[in-house]
Amino acid sequence: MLKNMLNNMLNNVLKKYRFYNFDFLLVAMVVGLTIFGTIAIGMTERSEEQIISPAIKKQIAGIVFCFCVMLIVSLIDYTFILNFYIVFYIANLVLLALIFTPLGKDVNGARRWIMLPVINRFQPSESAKIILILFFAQFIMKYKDKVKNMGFILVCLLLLGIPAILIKKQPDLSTCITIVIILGCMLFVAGIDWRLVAGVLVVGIIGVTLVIYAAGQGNSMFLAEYQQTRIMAWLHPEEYTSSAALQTTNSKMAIGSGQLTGKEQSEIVSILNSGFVSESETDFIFAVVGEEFGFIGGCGVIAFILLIAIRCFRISMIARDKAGELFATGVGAWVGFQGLLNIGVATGVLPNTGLPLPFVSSGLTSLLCLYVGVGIVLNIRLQSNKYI
Amino acid sequence: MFENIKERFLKFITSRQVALCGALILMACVLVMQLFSLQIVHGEENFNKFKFKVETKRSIPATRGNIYDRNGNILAWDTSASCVTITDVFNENKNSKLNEVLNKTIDIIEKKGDEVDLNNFDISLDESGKFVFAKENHLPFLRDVYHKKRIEELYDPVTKDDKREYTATQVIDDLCKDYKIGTYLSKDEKGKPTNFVPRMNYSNKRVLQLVAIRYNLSSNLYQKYISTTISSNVKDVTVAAILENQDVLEGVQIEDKKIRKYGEDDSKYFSHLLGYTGSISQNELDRLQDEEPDVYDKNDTIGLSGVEKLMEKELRGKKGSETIYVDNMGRVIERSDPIEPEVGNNVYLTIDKDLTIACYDIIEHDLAKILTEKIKNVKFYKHSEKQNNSSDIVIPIYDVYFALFDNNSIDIKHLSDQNAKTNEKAVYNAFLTKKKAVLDQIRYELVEKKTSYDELSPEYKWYMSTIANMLVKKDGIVKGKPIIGIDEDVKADKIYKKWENRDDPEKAEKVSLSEFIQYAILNGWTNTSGLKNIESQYADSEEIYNGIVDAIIEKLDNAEESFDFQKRMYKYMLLDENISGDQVCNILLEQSEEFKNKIPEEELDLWLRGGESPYEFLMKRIKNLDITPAELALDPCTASMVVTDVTTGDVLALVSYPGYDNNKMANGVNIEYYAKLSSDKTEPLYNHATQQLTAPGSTFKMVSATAGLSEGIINTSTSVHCGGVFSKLSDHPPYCWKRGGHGSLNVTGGIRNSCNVFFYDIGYRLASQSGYYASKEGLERLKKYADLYGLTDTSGIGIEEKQPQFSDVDAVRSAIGQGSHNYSTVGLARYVTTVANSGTCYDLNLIKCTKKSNDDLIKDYKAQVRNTVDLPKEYWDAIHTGMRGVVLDKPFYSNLGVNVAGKTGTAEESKSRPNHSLFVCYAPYENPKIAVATRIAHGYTSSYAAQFTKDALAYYFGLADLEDEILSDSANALQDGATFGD
Repeated sequence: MLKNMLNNMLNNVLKKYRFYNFDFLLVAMVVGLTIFGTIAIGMTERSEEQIISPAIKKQIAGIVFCFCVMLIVSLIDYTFILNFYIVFYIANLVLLALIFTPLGKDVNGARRWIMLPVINRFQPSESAKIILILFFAQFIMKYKDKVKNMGFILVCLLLLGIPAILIKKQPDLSTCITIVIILGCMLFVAGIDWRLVAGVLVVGIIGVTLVIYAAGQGNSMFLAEYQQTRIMAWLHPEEYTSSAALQTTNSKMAIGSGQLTGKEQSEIVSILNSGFVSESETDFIFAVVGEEFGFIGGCGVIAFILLIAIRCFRISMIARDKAGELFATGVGAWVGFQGLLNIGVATGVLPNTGLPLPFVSSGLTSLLCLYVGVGIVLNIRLQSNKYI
Repeated sequence: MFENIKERFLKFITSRQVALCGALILMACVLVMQLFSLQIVHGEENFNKFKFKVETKRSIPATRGNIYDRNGNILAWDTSASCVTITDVFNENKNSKLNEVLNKTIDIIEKKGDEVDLNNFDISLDESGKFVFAKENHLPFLRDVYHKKRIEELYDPVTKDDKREYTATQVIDDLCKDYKIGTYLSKDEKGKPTNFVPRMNYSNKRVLQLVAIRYNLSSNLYQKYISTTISSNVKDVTVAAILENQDVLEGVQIEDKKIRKYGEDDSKYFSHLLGYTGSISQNELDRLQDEEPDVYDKNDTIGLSGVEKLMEKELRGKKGSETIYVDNMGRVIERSDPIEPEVGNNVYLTIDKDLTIACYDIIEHDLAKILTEKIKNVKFYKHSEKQNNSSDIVIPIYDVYFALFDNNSIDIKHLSDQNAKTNEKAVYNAFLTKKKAVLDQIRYELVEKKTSYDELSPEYKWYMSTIANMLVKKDGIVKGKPIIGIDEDVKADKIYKKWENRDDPEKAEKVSLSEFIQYAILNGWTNTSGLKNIESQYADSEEIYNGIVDAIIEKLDNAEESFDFQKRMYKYMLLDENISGDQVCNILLEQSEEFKNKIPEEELDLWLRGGESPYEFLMKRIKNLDITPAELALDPCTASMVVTDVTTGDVLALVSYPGYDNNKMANGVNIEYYAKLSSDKTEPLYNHATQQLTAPGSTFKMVSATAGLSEGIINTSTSVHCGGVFSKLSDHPPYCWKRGGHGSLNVTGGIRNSCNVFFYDIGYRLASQSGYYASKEGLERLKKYADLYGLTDTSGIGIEEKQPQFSDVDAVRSAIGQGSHNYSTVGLARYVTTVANSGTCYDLNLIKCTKKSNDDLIKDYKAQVRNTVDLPKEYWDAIHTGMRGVVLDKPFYSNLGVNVAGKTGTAEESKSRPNHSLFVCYAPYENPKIAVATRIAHGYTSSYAAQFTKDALAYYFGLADLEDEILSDSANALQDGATFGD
């Protein structure tokens, strides 16, 4: 009896997939980029005594674990997972709220981690991204008829607003921006009114310009002082010798010094080993890539990020249902926008803000969430009824 | 079919996912363009910028060559030592972080018993802990401190702000404001700290340490990643402690550096001769860069004085270089392209190490002997010019007690310390009572009693005179202009003259200090802008007067500002028996374990159980050199001796007593040691053999003899009658030292008996060649012969030496070595060398040879012959015989074992202090080998100098054992020379 039930459930969850529909190319790109990232992280940890540092060993073990999780997830029917979307939403709020309990941990003035048994450090703002994508994919599908309705959009924004405020309080403005962009893309693909899109874009561009202008004038009511300084430092790096601007200046110098093919090992010491760029294994990992692998390596990473995002969008186009379509869009937007924003910061195109580079930066919470996301996207592909 | 494809294509192209892809591709293009710009277009530029940041060329200092004596004994060498250094690695909150790191580092260094060095900084502390300029000419230093190009720019014609006049404390405060060394008293409304008070909550010593290190760090700024030394030569425990705390001491490193060593115990013997090395000053750097571009840079160490400076070019070697790569903390992470430095050459001196040590020890031992003879168990000695010869001056034991305070053998500051012991506390309490009484009495005298100066006790005369000097001095009472400005008009004033002549027994009139001040106020000589209690400009004269009195009392009450004034009170406390000799001796024992350990146990027991008087106790200590003459700084406390080889012109020994420890001056100056040296009354930093000039006294008479013989005024048999007075000068006729007269003497007899009249006559006749007495002409003729003996010029040894001064007054008195003659001991040594070898005047030589580090000879040095004195042999014989006679008349030379010829000299500098004592000689008489010139400043009588010299000769010729005979307690007492004439 019990056996029967379990069998039934498994049958429900694991459908008969046609495995030529499994997207090996996406898996290859994701794994390739992750391995490339590990090598880059290894370079920041390089020391004379140890070629492979303990941190790298931990990273590799983490990758293997994430990879297995991705494979398992890719075989589970995503509609089954999406059923629990309300549970996920509440769990997300609980996790974010835990940060403000004694479980939370302060690092450099920001409270972004909770300390859990076994997995140790966990970053709820990373898991929030995948959970919100999950939630909204199912939520929007449920009310897909009302997508053109302004009231529905306001409800969506409200549902986003609650976790967003919790994240903002950490403070983690950059994650907030990312989830807003992701939801925007999902709503856009869901088919909101073009006029609304145009309106948001116009208002958004004017708004951003105004904020930056106000910050440039030195009196911003929208931004905290440190955010204002970062914007100022971005606008006038030569005048800001504070560490915020130095970080970007040095990162640009590091990337630039890589020239076409990156620095030879025998050449002069690297900027990263000289400690001129901090957070080089997380938010500024692209500086390592640029310095060690040059223009070729840098373009490679941009191409990979772009291709993974496009791949997700294409899977979105052939998804079996609306939820699959929206979910794949969300993951594509996540990888694509967060990745390019991060590179924009490292190359000084954008003001300094702390975002990891998907698949490349160290940080296992982020990696795990991305792999789970890609796993679900793979399942969406498996279940698609169309050919590409 | 085609329609179908077209439709699908249109649907694809217009799908919203494609729009998102488009947006992403657009962004990626922007990024690739940025990458292209950074890496390809500006790639090389960025690469070079990075290289500039981390790569720097650094010079590797060369090991300096060694200095040896003539027999190959090592005197100076380089050794490696652990140094604590700091590199500026801070970008944000630089001041507070740097100060914090430095404070922590200095705390660790001092806790472990090491010292912070003062490099390249011209402000130091004096004995009272006040900031003072370390060099006489500190203007180039101020120019650098205030970032000016020229010294003249220190004066701002617009604001009339003249930085050239700044006190050391003002300069320190300015630097403290720059470096934020001090405390903020409050915060403004935005929470930013304001109201900064420089130096607050820091001790002066710590302020000086911090400012000096910060100053050096900031002058290193243009050269990246050059570290600044905090302390050189630290102990292993300090190294361990620094390394343990490395995580909180950003930028602090332990480096292995070469430091200069001069021997642990030997350094005092050779300190003046060898000099020391140190950081190059900006002035010196400018000069050397003009001379040899590209050899020196700002961080170099060079020889600053003595042989180190003289032979700098040989000793310095050649610097190497390397390229280093540093991280953002300034830590070196890689080195490449090393060019090894070349070791400097070794320098061999003509100096004999053992002889030098023996001479120094003889001087110290014999000075102590003079002191024990002159110190008497009396309270005071009143000198009367009429009755007493200056050789009769005695030293009352109470002067010895006070000398222990006066020359800082007793640490006065420690008396008020919380760790002060019983006697220290008792004396300090007595001092507080005394201070209050004195300040009250001064106020009472100034405000009410107004006793005339001549009726005051000697104690209050001293106080009042000192106050008067403070009143007319800049910064005397209050910062800035003197309270009473003295100009030409004031100097011509009757009351001013009255006050100025207060001590002159012939001109003194009744006048009191208060009368003088009040008169000054009425005449508008006063400047009251610095006074606190005077509110309006139009204060009446009484308000001004009271304000001045208040300021005086406040100033005198300040232990730091009025250190010397308060120190003087101990003298009167001793005389008034407020403190006792027993207490003085006990404080010595309480303050110094080292002193206590020097005393034999049974003698210490005797003292502790009250078995002897403080007089007996101190006499034993002086005799045993537990307290050295230099520590006492009572006349005589300094002496110098120069020994030369008369056949070659080499200097065998050049001794200046007292010496100092040049280990503590090289490799960064030790603040406390330097403060002690510069306040020491014996001026140990001063080379008494080359830089102290005194009249030569009768040692000059061979010059006059040569002049007389050569000019044909006399021949060897010409005799002159001495009746005790030289009557050819009718105005104030000069006397012979022997008032009874010598009778008739020829030149040999004149020298032998040092007859003044004989040489007055030569002087007179030299000046009367034109038929009448013309002092100037006589001096010119005399100078010609002084010049032949090298007396008009420095001696040629090449180290710091003062230019001698030939007399420019009174040909008659100048002929016996009076007038305004001024010579150094080494100058006299060259002169007697020339006499001894019958006319070869050398430029004296200190350097024997230079050798490469592998012992290959580079160059032999020889003394150059400056000129010769061509005299017939019979003239030389006459002079030599006379000099031999001088020594024959000294009984203490009778059993020496070698025949000596010499000449004594006595020079009077002050009526109230003992005369200078001089002796020049050569030996053996028959076949001269060495010549010796000895001078004891304020050494009573020339006979003492002759006896010092005898001991040195006995050592040189191996006639007596140094330890067992010459320096032993049983050695004969020195003989007072009064009976032997001069």
